[in-house]
Amino acid sequence: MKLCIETRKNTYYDSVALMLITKEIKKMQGVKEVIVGMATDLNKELCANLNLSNDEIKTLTPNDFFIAAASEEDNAIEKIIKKVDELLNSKKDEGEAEIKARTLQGAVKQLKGANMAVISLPGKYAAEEVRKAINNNLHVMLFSDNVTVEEEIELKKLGRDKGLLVMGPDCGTAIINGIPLCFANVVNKGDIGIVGASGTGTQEVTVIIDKLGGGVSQVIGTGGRDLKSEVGGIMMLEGFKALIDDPSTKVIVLISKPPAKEVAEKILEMVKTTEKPVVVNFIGGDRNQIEKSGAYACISLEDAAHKAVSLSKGEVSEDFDGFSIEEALIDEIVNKEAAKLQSSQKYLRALYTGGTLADETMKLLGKEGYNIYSNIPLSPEFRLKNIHKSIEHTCIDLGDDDFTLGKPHPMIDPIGRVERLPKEAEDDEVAVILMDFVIGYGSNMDPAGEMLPQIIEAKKSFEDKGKYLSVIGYICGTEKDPQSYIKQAQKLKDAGVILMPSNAQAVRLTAKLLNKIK
Amino acid sequence: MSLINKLFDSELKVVNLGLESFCKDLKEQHVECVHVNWRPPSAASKFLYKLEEENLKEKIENANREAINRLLEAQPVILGVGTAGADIPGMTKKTILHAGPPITWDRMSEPLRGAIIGGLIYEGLASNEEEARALAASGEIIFDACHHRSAVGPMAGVVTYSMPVWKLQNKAFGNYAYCTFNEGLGKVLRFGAFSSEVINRLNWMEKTLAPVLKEAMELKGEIDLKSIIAQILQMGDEGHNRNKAGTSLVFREIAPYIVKTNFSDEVKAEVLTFIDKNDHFFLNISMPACKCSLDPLMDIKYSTIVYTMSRNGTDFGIRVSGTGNEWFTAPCEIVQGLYFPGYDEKDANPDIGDSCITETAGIGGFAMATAPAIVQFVGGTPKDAINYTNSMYEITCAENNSYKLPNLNFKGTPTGIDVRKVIETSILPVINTGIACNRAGVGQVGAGIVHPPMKCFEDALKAFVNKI
Amino acid sequence: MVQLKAVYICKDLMNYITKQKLIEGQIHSVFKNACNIVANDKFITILNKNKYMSPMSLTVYTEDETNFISLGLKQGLKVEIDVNDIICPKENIYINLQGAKLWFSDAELKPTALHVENILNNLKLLENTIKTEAKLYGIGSLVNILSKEIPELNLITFTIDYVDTNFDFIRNRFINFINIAAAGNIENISFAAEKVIGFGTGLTPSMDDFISGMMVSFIYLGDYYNLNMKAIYEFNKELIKRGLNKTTKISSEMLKHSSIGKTNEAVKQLMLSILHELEEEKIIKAFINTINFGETSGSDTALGIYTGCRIMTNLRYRRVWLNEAMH
Repeated sequence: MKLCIETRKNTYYDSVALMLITKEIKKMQGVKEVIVGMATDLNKELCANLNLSNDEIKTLTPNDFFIAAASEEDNAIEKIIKKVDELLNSKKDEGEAEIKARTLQGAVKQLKGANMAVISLPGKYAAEEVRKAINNNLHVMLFSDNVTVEEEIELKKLGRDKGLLVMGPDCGTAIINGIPLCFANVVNKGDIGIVGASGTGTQEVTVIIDKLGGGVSQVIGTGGRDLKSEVGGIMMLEGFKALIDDPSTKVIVLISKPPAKEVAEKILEMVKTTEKPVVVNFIGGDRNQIEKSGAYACISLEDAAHKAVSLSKGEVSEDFDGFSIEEALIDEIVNKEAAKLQSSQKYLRALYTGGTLADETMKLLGKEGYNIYSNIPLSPEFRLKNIHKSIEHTCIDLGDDDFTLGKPHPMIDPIGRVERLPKEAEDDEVAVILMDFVIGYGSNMDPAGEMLPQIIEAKKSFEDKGKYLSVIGYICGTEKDPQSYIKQAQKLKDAGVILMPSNAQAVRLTAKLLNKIK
Repeated sequence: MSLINKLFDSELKVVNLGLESFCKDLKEQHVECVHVNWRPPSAASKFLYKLEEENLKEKIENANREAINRLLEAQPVILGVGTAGADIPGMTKKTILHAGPPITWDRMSEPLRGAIIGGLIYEGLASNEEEARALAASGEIIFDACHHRSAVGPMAGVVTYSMPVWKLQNKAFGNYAYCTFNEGLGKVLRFGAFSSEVINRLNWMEKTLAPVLKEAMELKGEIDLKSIIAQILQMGDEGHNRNKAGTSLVFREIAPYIVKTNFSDEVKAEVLTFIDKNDHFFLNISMPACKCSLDPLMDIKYSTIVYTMSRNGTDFGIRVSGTGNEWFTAPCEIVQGLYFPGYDEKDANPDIGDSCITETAGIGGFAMATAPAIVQFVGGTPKDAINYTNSMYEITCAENNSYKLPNLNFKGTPTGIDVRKVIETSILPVINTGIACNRAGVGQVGAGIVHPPMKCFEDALKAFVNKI
Repeated sequence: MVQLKAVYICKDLMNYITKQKLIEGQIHSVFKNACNIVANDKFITILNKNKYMSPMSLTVYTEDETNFISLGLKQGLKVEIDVNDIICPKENIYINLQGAKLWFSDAELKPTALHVENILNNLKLLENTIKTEAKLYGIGSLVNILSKEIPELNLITFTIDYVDTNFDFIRNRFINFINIAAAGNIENISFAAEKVIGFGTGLTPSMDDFISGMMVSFIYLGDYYNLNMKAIYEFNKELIKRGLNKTTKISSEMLKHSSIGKTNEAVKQLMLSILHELEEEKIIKAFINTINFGETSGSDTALGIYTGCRIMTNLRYRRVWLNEAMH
């Protein structure tokens, strides 16, 4: 009987691995006894007890790994070690496939003609790299947040003085030369140029333009803070100007939440400097002011897209506040849904992953006279006391900081909404659930699929209670996006979700339904 | 046309910092995108800001250009054979030179001590190990770095008075460099062995090998090393850890002249056989070639180019052009590599030798791409070899004008390490080296990759900033 | 640079980092789902988001499942920690700590609506679940012996398919240890424990997991029965005293935490279920979550909890701990 000992100092294997090793060695031919583990005093004593010890084992510490086996075979120890290494799969990874640069400088050296830097580093390091990028004459797409306002102003001024784009901080969406950057959709090329200060707002406008048969020339992002008074709309103005000067752009669309007063004025002043039609969507902003400047105001993101597409054909369109399909069919849907609802069910719970869409929803419903509670309410008295508990009509932006601390954005990982829906389903007074499904580059590969089990479960639990849960949804995307738009739509429809072709229409349908059951 | 409108007219070419998924998405859409393996700036990189000021930056760039030009203009040639005592400046019977930055006996590692013991016995200053150790520790022996005397030595790099040396000269600047002959493999002085076998071989080299080579060189004239090094890089050598081609070319250069010397056939055959059997014979020629190419860079004000990298088995030392002959040292690392059967990390001595003068000059590990065979000894795949060379371009100032790499489209080797770039990128120069046993006299136990400690560069940068 | 986001962080760990301001440590061990760092003699664990939070640990999120090994983390690599982030400079890995939710490892001792019958019922459920679901090849055989050797403990027998000869060696010591522990014999407990701590395979040897479970159950039940908590904590402290340097570092840390009731989330939920839960399904779920921890770690811990509960719910053993004030 041969004693086979293998020791590895300061080596740690997880328990699954140890189990596997023990099992496999025990199975080996000729092995009569084996102990595998860390060399604690007890285990060493055990070895001695079973005549499986030697001097080497005695000198080990509890932080050392050992195998002690008794085998009838010669060369057993080599076989055992070979087996162990096989099981642990300690093969070295194959060499790296490509060289990656270590610094921005190095990358610029490697990539001749580099013209853009996409930066998504942690906020505290981002500003310095943007500076380097600008010094290297690169346009910048700055996805990072947690960049200070002072840094933002400095960098945007630096960029402006050199004539470079500084899109961000906190800029998630852009389409340059037809290429979606970060979180954006694949959209037809065309002659509509967009400058947007909000991610999903911009995405909505681009996908609807695509749906209407139009296309985009350039979509420039500015980051969420650009139109605040401290930053003064630097990038909005720069982007606007570039589109004015761009021969491929015939119509310009500007998207943002209502800017600071003086910033709005500056932007609207610039409208006068161009003959190109300008559609301005300061989501909920002052219509008169916009129209006075010669620009076209809109009532929704969808409307902005409609107006832009019409203008690119040389026509002027009215406010689009209806539906893409016949009103009669809409009413049919509404009546069917309403019929299934119990009279005790009265409330809407809108669960959004796109902040701008949530905002648009509340504004549109506000016009219909509905007060909506939210974590991003239109007015302070409708702030949810507990953002994790909805009351009455509630519309939540799950992408807001309060929900995403320590977690990724819900457009990437829908877990936040997956967990929230069942909570809403516990409330018997809920009638309608409204949700957005944003696809495109950067988004989760299957937003519909991720929510599906919860949707089915929620609807079933209402059925079991003798009630009905109406679920209305909207897929923000195009058929060219990497996620299959058609499959996404099919999944949701099969589960009984009513899909509308735009966020505004989904809201309008919801409003009709709520009106019906009032 | 504004730059923004220009962008609209061009093809998007993107540099990505941060989430790699953005880069993947762009590549999926056939957009040229390079992902930066970004890391946060280190504490030392704060010093880099002090060098950003326009005027200063220009001075540094000019100084570096001067340094690189000097390096690229070098014309290293072998003049002939001499002896340490006669040719190396300031050499005495009791002077012993060693590899690496200056170090005292008490701090030396075993291989170096062993080599010194061997050297003392060879010179007849001691008759056995005990006496040698006592003498070495006594203070009577003057120890100095080879580098201070225009010399370099591989591994322990011990040079004593009677040893024969190659005499090289950089014809462009007139400065000299010296190096002993390579003893071969196994139990040799440079790995700390000092048995009679070693001493006998040293004696044979002094009394037989050297005179033959000396006369052969007198007949031959000079041997141009620049063209030889350029050739070997196209033959799978890199001049540090792989020298087969170099040795073969030198053999071809000198063999006819060895035959023409007045020694007996037997002796000539011994000498030719000796060279033939020692693949690393060329190492002791490539090293001084690099040394004399780099020495003219020693004191260029405002230059951040590294002109010396070296180790003595305890400390790693570098010297930077703009800070003159000041050494910046830190403890050497242990080499990461493959071990010969029967050996492992427990047997490894920390990094040792002047041989990384080759990397300093832009060959050796920097030319790894052209020597894929080396990965068999140092671990890794041929792709790794290429990646190593490619990453060196980020910390060097120039592509060599003579030393070209065929499988990188004849791109010149990365030449001229800039301290600023090392700090900025956190990329350390890569060195291909042998691993010495930590017990004197055992010899080589493996080969692998090693890096200088970052501290050397951080200290050098700090000193540079303080000086200007 | 690989960017990870911390989802949860142990409050004790956060306090420690805040106090130290900047910590330099080294990676101790790396596994697929976890990575341990040792810094100033403290042990810090980074876990995959799917793992249960543990004392002095944090969980991280990435898009795909984090595999710490393939990230390139290796033993010995330097790590720098401050209140904002953890950075491994060599492998260029950055973990953002901002926004991580605090998690508390402390025992949640609170009054319960349950009566003793409910708790005993829950123990029965635990027994059944152990019989059918637990991995008994850790400490299972030894515990099985107890039902015959110490019948007063009222432990059930399990069916074990095989006999492990390893256990003959330790059998008597273990019985001795249990007797002393059940008797609350503080003079002898450290010597008895010293003879068994460190026994078994695994980075946390099976015996250590068992003892952890037992100590934790003493604390929770001690609180439930309004016993002399100070004495119980002293007892636990004494118990592990001599054994701490006889076992792996990881296990040593775990024993220290368990001795004062600090456990991972699964164990905490298990204890809370035993003492507060009436719905069978929820209780069984909590047991199963614990049992699934590690390879046999979870089962061994559950066995320790089970044994400890049996001890504490038995007045014969419990009276040692009665508060003087109560008499």
